[in-house]
Amino acid sequence: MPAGILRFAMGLALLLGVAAPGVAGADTWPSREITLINNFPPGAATDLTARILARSIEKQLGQTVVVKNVPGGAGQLGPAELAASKPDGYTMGLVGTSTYLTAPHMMDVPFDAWKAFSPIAQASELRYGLAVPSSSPIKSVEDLIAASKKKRLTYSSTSPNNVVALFQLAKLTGANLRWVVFNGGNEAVLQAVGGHVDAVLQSATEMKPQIEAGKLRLLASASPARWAEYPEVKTLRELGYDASSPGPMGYAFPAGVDPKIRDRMEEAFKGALADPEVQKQIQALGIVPEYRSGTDFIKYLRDLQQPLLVVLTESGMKTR
Amino acid sequence: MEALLGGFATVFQPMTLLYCFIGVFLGTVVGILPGLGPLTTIAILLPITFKMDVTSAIIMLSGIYYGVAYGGTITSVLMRIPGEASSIVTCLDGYEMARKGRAGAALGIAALGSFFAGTVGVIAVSFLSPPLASAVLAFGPAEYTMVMLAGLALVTYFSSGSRFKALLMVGFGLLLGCIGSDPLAMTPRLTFGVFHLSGGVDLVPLAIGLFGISEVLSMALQKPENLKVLAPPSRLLGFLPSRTEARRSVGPVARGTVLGFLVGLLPGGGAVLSTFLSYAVERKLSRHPEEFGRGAVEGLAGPESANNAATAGAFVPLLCMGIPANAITALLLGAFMIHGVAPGPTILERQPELFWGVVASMYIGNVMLLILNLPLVGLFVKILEVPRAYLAPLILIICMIGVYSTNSAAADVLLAALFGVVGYVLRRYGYDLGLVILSYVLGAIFERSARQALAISDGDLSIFASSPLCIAFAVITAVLLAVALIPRRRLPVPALQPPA
Repeated sequence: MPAGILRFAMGLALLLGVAAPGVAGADTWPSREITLINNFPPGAATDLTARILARSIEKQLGQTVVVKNVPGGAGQLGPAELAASKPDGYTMGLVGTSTYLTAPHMMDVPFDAWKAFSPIAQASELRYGLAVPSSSPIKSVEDLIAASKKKRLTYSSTSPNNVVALFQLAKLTGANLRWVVFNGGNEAVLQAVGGHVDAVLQSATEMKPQIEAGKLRLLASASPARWAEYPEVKTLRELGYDASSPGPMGYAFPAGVDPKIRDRMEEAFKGALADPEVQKQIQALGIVPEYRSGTDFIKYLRDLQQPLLVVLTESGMKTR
Repeated sequence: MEALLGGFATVFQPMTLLYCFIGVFLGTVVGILPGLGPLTTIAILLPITFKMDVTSAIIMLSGIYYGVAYGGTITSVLMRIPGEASSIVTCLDGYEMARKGRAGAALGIAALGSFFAGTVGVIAVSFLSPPLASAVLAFGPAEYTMVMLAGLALVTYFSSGSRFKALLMVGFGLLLGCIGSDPLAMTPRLTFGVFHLSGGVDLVPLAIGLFGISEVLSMALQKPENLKVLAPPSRLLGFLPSRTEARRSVGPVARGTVLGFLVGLLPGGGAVLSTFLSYAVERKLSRHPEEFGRGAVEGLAGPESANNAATAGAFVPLLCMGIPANAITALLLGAFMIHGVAPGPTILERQPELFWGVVASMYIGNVMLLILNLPLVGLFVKILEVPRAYLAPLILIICMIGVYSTNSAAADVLLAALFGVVGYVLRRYGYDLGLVILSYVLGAIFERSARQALAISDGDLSIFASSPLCIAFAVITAVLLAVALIPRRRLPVPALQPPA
């Protein structure tokens, strides 16, 4: 009875097809498109990074990776959506210092970052620098500290994790510096170029064009390493001040995802970041492509808890 | 000049022309669809351009940006839904013109005005970029505060009818602007424990709710015999404005262009603000102020020119200083950087062919947009012949998709629905909804800048009089308020007449 066998086979196939995602998720994953949540509007440096990574992961896993922008909630709406989505390996999202370390102390976020996510990997690290307008008489970090003791100086920057380095510097040296909060990184840089604030501490993405044009003078790298473009400019640490701003960006699944799926995705991120083309494109944005495994990423974040708590407490931003 | 001609040589290659056309065409389509904005479109297309040469990539992406200002008009005029935030003001008089059977003329004037403003804007970019770019640097928090104060003073001109009602709407807009995270301390305010509100109320659900959804509601709640208000044009060349309309548009277009370009230069200001300012100015200068809100051609021509000129203006700080004036130019900056070009003061020396290529493409792109838009006017106006019973639900669906796609948030759809009901009630009782949007936009920038300025000065108020620019804007504010207090002879009329 060939027809009967055929019908049986079709029925079986249908049954397996329907049951497969539920029963053997990890073996058939990925069988449909994967959503990557980015917490900022299209066009933000994080969005561009996500799109570059998505293209490489697509090639490795053979499935489409769609970047979904969920801006709002001061960057915490995205993680909130991630925490609430199904841990089936088809939704992942951006997590970083703000998700884990700053936002929970400043607003009521509907998730406990340490429990809600299953980190996949760190993909990049923002580089920060301390600069003054080129017309400023301040030529070095030493000058800046000395000048601030005569008259309080202002600096522009966007978010708490940027300014960790300057809070540490102030504590170490007694420098009298006031942080003026700006909304966007470019705006913060523009205010320094126009001389409305005395200095700026921002990421390389926004500062590089102005430094290149001779409008800003880079005094020091505020990251643990020097900037590749300005190898002669020392880090704050090298200058003798134990201060630096962290900027790790990573990706996570919601907690409870199958470990096999997480491992496979971790590998895909590792593969993406090993691709010279991907590295080149991310670097062009002024961001350092830097891979850390999920475990190392979370350990790195834990080490940053203490310095950030100091900033939040001293700036009066810690309300929770 | 020679350099500009070199730029034209770049653009007049078949492939570059094609990319320019794709850009402006997509821009028009995206502009027509409410919610789906240039930001999302450019971001989605960006990875596709990785393999293209940088000049073609930037020409195409820029085309989307300035093409949007053309398309946004169409939905505003025909359906009273702002296709883009920069077309909110167009809903006021553009739609009223359509109700009087002048839809074709409204679209025609908007397209011609946009073309004029876009072209003049590009000419200004070509010749004035370097000096203008450094002027932008003079604006710090204190200067911004004073500019926004002058903008808020203009509110008096924007409104008509009861001052009390106008003030009420301004207060409502300012309050809405306060919802969200405190701009400096980042503590949540007025969120009532709703997590979604911690990022503030987005402009898109607010504008689409107040204008689009409230319009659908009023369509649905009208008696059937009142529904045939929109008369499609009978003539073949229906997009040609009448002689009177054309004459009355000349001044507003010229003023809108200058105003739009200047406001567009300022980071954070941009196209939305320029349209409101242009509307307020035209209303004050008009000899027929009573017609505003009832289909005054000046109220359409001015703002529509302003938003295009503002788009061109935003290119000055982007190309000359590497400073984006808004989120879209920030995205274009990202596109430059991925392609390994750092826009900034050095771009003219290092990559003149790129700079002039993009500028030349904007001349060509504006011509393309005019050719693309004028013949299509007749086609778009046909939408008006669709029975309202079918049109209303369609508009509602487009609105909802638009709102959802901005933030991928279902909560925004609920917000838009809420604002739709609020908007309907307010319109019914003759309150001016434009004021809500205007004060919402201005209030947020005003508060942030004022607090930044005070953080810099340690609470010393004298910072607001510390530069010639500050003082100039303080004087402008004072004059605006003084003139407003001079009693008006004409009878007050409600700006947004509830439909029939």
